Amino acid sequence: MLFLLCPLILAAQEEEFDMSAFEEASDAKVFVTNKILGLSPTKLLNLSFDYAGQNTWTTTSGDAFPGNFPESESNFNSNYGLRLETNYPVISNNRLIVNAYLNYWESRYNADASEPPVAQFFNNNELRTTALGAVIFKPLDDRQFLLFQLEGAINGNYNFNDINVDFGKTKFSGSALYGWKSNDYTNIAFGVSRTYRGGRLLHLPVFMFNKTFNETWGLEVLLPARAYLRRNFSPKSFLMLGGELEGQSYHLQGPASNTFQGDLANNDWELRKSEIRTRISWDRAITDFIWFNVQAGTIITYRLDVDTTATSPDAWLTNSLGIPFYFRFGIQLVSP
Amino acid sequence: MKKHIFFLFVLLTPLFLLSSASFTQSQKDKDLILGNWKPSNGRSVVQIYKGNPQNGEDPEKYYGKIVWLSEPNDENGNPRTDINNDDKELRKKALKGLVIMKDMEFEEVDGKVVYWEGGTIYDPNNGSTYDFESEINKKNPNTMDGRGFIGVSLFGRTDTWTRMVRK
Repeated sequence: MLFLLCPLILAAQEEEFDMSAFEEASDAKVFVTNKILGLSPTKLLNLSFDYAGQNTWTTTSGDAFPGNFPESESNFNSNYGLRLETNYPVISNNRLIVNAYLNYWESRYNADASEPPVAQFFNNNELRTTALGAVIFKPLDDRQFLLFQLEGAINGNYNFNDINVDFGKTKFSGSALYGWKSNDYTNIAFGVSRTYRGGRLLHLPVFMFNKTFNETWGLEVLLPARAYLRRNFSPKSFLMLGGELEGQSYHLQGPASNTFQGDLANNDWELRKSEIRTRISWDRAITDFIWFNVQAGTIITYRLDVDTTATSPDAWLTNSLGIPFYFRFGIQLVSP
Repeated sequence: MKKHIFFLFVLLTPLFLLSSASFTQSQKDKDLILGNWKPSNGRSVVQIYKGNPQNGEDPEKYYGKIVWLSEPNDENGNPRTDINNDDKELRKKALKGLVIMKDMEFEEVDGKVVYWEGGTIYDPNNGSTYDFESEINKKNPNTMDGRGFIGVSLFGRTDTWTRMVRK
């Protein structure tokens, strides 16, 4: 009997699916997803090496300086460091996506021994950034969503030896956006942000716009953080042309800061650094999940000053810099 | 003797019926995954069926093929094909009818939740194949959480699929 039924069962399996005869089960609610077709993939892990070429800093006293700091010119041979970025999906379903991330960046300067004290300070003190954060995507219905980002970062010249991390100087930042997904190729969001990307603490409006025009071209914009024009060669190979605003306020402390401060009495300082990285970047899959990234461009320094706080618009010392060339190479583990 | 046989029959019949009912329930749980499902992006419907040996599939495992696409044709009006496949020979294969979920095995029923695992899922949007597992809560058998991941389940993303039912 079963044998006789087999052809009927197989015939039923091969039957053309008529969508008009079906509907979604009534108790299921549909929510908007965060996926935009053609968008650059989310990275679970990214290990990269960043290298910037020769640069000259001219250091002068700022508006907050009580007196006159002797102007100096420091020549740096290079500025380089490793960057490890992890992004782990803690919760990932249709109703809520929570990605936790942990980033660790190093920034090492190299200057000759004959250079002024400012250069020697950076020669002897690596700058480090350790950031722990979360990105939360909360769909409201089949179109609208909320997006949150929260971060606590420890930035400074701590070295896990004689200069310890000062957790009291943790920099907290965050963003909150409301947006909607117009279709599978476009989403838009607006919001506000508390950020250190400008070097010091700022509260700014945020605008997100992701658009895939066709299989070849797209835009990925999150202002003021970054904006890119994307050129897809395939889903596993694409170029990005644009720029990113990177910035932190580093807490400088410990005995080494005496060298830097010179005649300044206080040894508790904030180095406020903000730079625009213009770049062309190429991502390509080596296997389904392992990708590489190479990028090159220039660093335009928007702010590099020193003050006693991370919030004041005035500074004790300011620096004007050249525009060095940089490149970065990275290996990534890409999310499904 | 007849008395003994009757006694044995009386004793074993409920056991047989019980195990038979249990087997039927177990099979029902296993097959809860069968049907037509729409992933959360709403761009396709995937029909999950038991493997067909004639197609080289294992009849004990579950497979899923695309039976409907919201955009069935490409920019030129031709039926969409698997253009992102790494294998150039397969790029001409039609997306409709493409088997994207393979080798899913029933794992267990834990309380009200039924689990399948050991399978793979192919994403035609990028030509990548991921490990795949899924679960259905019997309290709501019309949604299925499918998780694509890399190697270990921790590194993955869960997508909720909705069952398509006849109007």
